[in-house]
Amino acid sequence: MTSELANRLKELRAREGLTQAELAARVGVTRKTINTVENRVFVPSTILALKLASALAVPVEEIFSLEPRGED
Amino acid sequence: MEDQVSKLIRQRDRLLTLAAVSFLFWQGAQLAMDIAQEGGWEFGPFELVIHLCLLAGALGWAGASFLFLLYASRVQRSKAQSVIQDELFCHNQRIAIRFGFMAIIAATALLLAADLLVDFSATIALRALLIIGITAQLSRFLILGRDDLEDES
Repeated sequence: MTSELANRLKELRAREGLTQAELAARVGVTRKTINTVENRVFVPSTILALKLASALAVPVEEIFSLEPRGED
Repeated sequence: MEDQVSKLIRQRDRLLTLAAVSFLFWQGAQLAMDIAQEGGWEFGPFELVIHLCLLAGALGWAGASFLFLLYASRVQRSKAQSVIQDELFCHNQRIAIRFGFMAIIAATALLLAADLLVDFSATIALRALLIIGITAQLSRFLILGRDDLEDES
């Protein structure tokens, strides 16, 4: 069974009252990178995932999780 | 900072567009001239247009190369290089390079098939591959950068 990476980044960012640009500045990437991660277009590296978790002060598994692919 | 980063990314994309279009005009016109020369054809009234495309393309490519040098120093001064070249940039760059490579392979196969039907020189084939390889790669990178999805909540 194949899996894909789901994330709650948008929800957790909103909870912190941050814009995409503000979160991007905190982790040192462009706003577009945050945008593509939130929209599941781009799967971030472990380093970026940990930086995002640190910036949002949550464990990394609270942001990212595995979910079965749609067709499975 | 984000404004500055966005501005630098927009400038880079504009420069890449200029480079891709210029290269296509410059080498495309040169390719058309090579084909005409080998086939013994004449452009007639379009000769001037072909020469203008060649000149405009070459000047555009030279201009884009010079502007890239200025852009690189501007990026270095802004200390935003690591942000601009973040992992999404590297990811898109890898996809674009792979796309360019696949386009070259496909074009090579087509040229090999075409060689069975018509005779053409290695210069024509190599120039065609160069045009396809460079423009495919630059265009793919620009298209990937333009895909903006659901924005701020």
